[in-house]
Amino acid sequence: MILTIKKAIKQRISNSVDHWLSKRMPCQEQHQLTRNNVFILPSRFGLVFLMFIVLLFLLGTNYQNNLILLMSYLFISVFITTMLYSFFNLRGIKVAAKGEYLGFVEQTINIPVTLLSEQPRVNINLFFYPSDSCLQSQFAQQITVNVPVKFDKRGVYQLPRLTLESYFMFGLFRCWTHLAFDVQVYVGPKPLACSLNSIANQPANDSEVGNESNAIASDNFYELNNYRVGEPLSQVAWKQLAKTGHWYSKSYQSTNSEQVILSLSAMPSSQIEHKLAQLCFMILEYQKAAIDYGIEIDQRVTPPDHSHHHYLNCLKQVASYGG
Amino acid sequence: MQQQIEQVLQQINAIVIGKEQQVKLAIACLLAKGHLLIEDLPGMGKTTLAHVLSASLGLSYQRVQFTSDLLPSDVIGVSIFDQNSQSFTLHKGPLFNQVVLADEINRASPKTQSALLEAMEGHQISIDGQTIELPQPFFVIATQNPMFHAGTYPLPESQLDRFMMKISLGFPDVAAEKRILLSTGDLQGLDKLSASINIDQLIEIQKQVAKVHVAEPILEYIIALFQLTRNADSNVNPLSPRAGKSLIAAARAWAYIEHRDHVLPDDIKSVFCAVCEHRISGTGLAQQSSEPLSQQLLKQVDSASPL
Amino acid sequence: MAANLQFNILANSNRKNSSSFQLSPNIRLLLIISQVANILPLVKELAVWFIAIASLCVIFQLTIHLNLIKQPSRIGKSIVAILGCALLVVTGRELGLLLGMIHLLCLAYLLKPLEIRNQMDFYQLIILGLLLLACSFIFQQSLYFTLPVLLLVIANFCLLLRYATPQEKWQFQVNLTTKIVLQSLPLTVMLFVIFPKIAPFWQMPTAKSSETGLSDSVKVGDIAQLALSNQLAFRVEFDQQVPVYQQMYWRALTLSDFDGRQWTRRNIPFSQQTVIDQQALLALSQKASGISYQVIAEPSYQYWLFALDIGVIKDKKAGLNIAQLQDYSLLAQRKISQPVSYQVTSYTQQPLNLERLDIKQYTQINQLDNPQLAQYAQTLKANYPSDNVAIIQAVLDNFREQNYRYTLTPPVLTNNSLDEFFFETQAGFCEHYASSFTYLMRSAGIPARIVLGYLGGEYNQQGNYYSVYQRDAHAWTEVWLDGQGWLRIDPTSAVDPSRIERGFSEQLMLEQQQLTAEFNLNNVFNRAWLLQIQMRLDAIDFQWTKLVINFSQDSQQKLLSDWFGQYFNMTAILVIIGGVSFIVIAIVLLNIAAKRPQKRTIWLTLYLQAHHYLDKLGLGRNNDMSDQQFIRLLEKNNVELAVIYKAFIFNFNRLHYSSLESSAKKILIARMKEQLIKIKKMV
Repeated sequence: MILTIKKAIKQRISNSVDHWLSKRMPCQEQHQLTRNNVFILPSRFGLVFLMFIVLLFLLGTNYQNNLILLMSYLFISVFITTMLYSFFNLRGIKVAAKGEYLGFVEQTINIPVTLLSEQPRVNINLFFYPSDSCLQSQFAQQITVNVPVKFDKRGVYQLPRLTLESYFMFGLFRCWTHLAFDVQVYVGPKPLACSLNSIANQPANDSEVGNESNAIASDNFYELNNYRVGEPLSQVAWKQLAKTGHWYSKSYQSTNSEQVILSLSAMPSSQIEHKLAQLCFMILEYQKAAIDYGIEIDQRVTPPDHSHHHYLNCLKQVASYGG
Repeated sequence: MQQQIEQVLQQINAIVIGKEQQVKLAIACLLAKGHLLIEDLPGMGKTTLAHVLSASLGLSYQRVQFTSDLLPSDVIGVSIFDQNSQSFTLHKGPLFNQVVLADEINRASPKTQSALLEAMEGHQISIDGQTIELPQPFFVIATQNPMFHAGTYPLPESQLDRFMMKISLGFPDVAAEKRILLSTGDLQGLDKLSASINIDQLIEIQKQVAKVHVAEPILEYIIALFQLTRNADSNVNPLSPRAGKSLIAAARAWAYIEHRDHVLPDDIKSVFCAVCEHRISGTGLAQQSSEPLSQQLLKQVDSASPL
Repeated sequence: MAANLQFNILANSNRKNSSSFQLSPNIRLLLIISQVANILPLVKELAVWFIAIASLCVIFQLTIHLNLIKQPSRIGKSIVAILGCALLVVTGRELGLLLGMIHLLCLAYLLKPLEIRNQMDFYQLIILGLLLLACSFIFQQSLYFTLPVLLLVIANFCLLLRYATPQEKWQFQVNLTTKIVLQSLPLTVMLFVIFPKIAPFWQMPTAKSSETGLSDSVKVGDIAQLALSNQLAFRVEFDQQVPVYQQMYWRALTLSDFDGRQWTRRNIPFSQQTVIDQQALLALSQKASGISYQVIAEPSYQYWLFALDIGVIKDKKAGLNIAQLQDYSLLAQRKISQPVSYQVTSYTQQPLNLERLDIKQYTQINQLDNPQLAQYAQTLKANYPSDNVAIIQAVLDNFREQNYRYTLTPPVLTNNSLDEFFFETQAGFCEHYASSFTYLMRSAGIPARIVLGYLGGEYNQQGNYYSVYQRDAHAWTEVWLDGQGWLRIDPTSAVDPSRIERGFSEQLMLEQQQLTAEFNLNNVFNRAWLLQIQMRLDAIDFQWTKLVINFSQDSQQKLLSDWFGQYFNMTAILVIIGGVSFIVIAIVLLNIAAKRPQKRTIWLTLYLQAHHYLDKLGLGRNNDMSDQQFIRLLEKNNVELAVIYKAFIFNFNRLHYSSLESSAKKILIARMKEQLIKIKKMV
């Protein structure tokens, strides 16, 4: 009973904090750290240190010992100076992240975060809350850091707030900020292996599954397309590249004209989540084999292709299913 | 006065079907004493729009088809020795009309283009040392084909700046297209159009438009928008103060059409794309994003400032 | 420029969990070194057995560090801890409370590294080290002790920084820490000067350190050890007038009881001491002009303070309670355990006859102790009946004419016999002469007592003050002559006048210089040069003692009233501190206020309120939505609301974007308010 109340209160507090944060520091592509979005409070060590200063003050006063008093004053001054230093260590940093990212459940997804600064910075921890691991960095000028994030459930997520924290100087202060970025993360289900043969709705293709890798080579050249990043290099039309300087990719027409349509409903499992996981597996497999495939989810058909863009699109659909 | 504008709008919309927004922009451009550039594929109703506009406002109208061999004198006119009177008489070119439709302006040579544009800027024409005032109001509607068509001389950025707005009519929606297909298709109806406004009234309206109030927050909004284009890392052409003046003038006209005596941010938003898109994207060849740059700018500024 | 980047992936456990917390070997070694360094300032106070344990602990840790042995088990650790504690308990009584505590602290500090299981343990260790450094100031406070301790403080902070930034070079840490400490110094000084000094909250245990300097009993032969000590006893800074060297007899205490071997004074608690007649002192100060000076006494762990005769303490200080005793000596209520300063005015020309006392006790003596001296006294008395001055003169003449010698290494006397000294060995120092002289006087029926104190002092030109060292300790005699009061007789002057005229120390130095001059002239120069430096350093230390160590409530008050005017007091300081913090807070608040949108107009507030209500309905308006778009959105949800909102926004737009007369504005605002209420109701 008490536990649930505690939980509820915690939830309430974190909600209102979230609300306050989102008002104070709205979602942006790039944040510059200023005194409006950087928080600073004494760390646990800082509090202990303060208590120690009070103790010294009492000691000095009781012994009427000016040197001990001087020492306590020195420590309190250092404490204040350190506060400024740790704040200045974060202030002025520009943090940027953008784009869309794709990953799978329980898989670490690396989100590239760019840090920009004119001065060198030290001891900055970066992590997404709640997260298992964090990165510690010091840098000058500019770096891009891959900050890991993990999700336990399939879905489309707004990137959680990035925590930038530093205990720099003596560990007396925790200086931190929570930044929200306009970044979508598509988290697909963990691929669930299933037999390719069990997919019933494209019988013609079954025989081809085994030799997909040479499927391309044996197919006829069909046309030149603009090269899109992510397409296999083996398909680049090098001659054309040398001649014109433009990137084209050769596409082939499959001799077997049947197109693979992976249908969600055709997945062997009975549970929808498992079906999605299996579909995900299939997409991965086909993409690996560079065979054109389309998907069908609830009558919505995405026409076959095997470009990277198409691949991402398919996975996005799987990730956002039902959401 | 505003009722008359309303009537004009209705008249035009009855003929140019499904293009309320563009018609309104065109009228606003006219009221703001600017010139209009329409970029569109052939057969989208550019000519119709120009024609209807002039007719319903009771203005004289002339169309000039620009071709690559068109000479400046073909546009502005020429002095010819008249043997009867033993003197030079001026043969006024098509520019001496209140509404001039310069069709496919990007097909003419730059020389001809600049002759037209100079006339637009100065509202006067010099022929053989003679300076002749152009009629008031003077409104040029230029059309151009999208750039990728062959055999064109794209207007340079500096010339584009002379046009207050660039609009594109675009394809009509399904309902409108049905009506277009069913309509008689000739411009006969145009002749029957009676002007619901006379020239004096039009000039009076233009004066009133210039008096529409622009509040401090609006100016700040505009400056914020413009600053964004001038940032070092923005990938657009920076907007000049002249662009700003055009923007305010257009917004005033828009507000006037909306029956208001003050400009709202919405007015700015409504005209911003038309006024600024061609200025920031320049000749526009590098532009590939589906969303217009000006729209992106608006979004950026809006998300940054609460009002 | 290439980006200088470095990355470490930290397991979360490293940040928060304690299970796998491990200090890097580098830090471990530095920690051991810092432990040794932090304990060093206290090493003089620590018991010998403890130092042995401490060394063992350090060696133990070093071997662990070098991987020679494994981490001790939990039992092993407990055994060491318990052993240390047991030893402490056993020796606790001997050490006293304060030292016992400090030993305990040191023990904890030494054993803690075996138990570093998380980051906080490490931090605790650093704090313990800093506390030990602070504690060392209880025992020593000279500038030349303080500076190394300050360096150690910086070193400790360096270690903290090194822990935080292991990847940087050590120069980075040293530079940064030094920079920070230096930047903190102005604030420190300001706090020191401004922050009100508070009286002690409760009594603290004091150190049971060995007493230095004069003791309150004299056996013939005692002062000789002092005479060899070059330790500083006190310093004196004269305000204007400086007495002649021969007159610098610094009285500490008088001894009046003689038990045959040693002179003692009765041990009386502070509160029961007979205090001199204050009225008489007051009259004295009005009658004559005196020499005023400031004495800064080094800790002696005794009660005695020093002054020239007749020393009067004018302004009583808060922290230091000094009684002026009947024998003209000054007695502090508490042991002098740290440097104290006090202002004295001395009336050197005035007779010492202010007290009314039983003179008889000053003639009490056991004739049998030194029968020969008693015999001699009787002869003198017979020779000069009722002429005390003549008797005194005769004794002094005797000293002068006979073959008496002034030496610091006199032959040993059996049973401390004065007879033996006076008639046989005839060699000794001030104490011998003062003792035998006093004994003689008493035997002759003249009231007499021994005075212990210091004679002379070394002038420091750089600092314009006199330093009195333990080697300047001296003993002399006072005799009571009716009508004149106590008269100072220094029998030593009869034996060795130079000791009185130029001082003991200078005499020694002169001898040394004479010795060295024969060998090497250069050496003389060098010595003089060294002496110069020594003087300069001593002068700096004097200023340090005067200004910093002795900075008291009164000096703070005085300083601040000098700066800010006469009526300055502690309340004023509090007002200033309060005022400053108020201003700071006000600035911060103003800054925050300035960040807010300037002067929100009424209609803007109303507008925001309306949207606040609509937000609750889930009808948030995006910034890039136009009015029309938003109204359309509302229409989909609630037509009525949309109608009201349309009117509302129309009014708002007119107010916000058009120029209106104030009357028109009022009407519109009123309408907006009505509409807002309607919206609120609908929500």
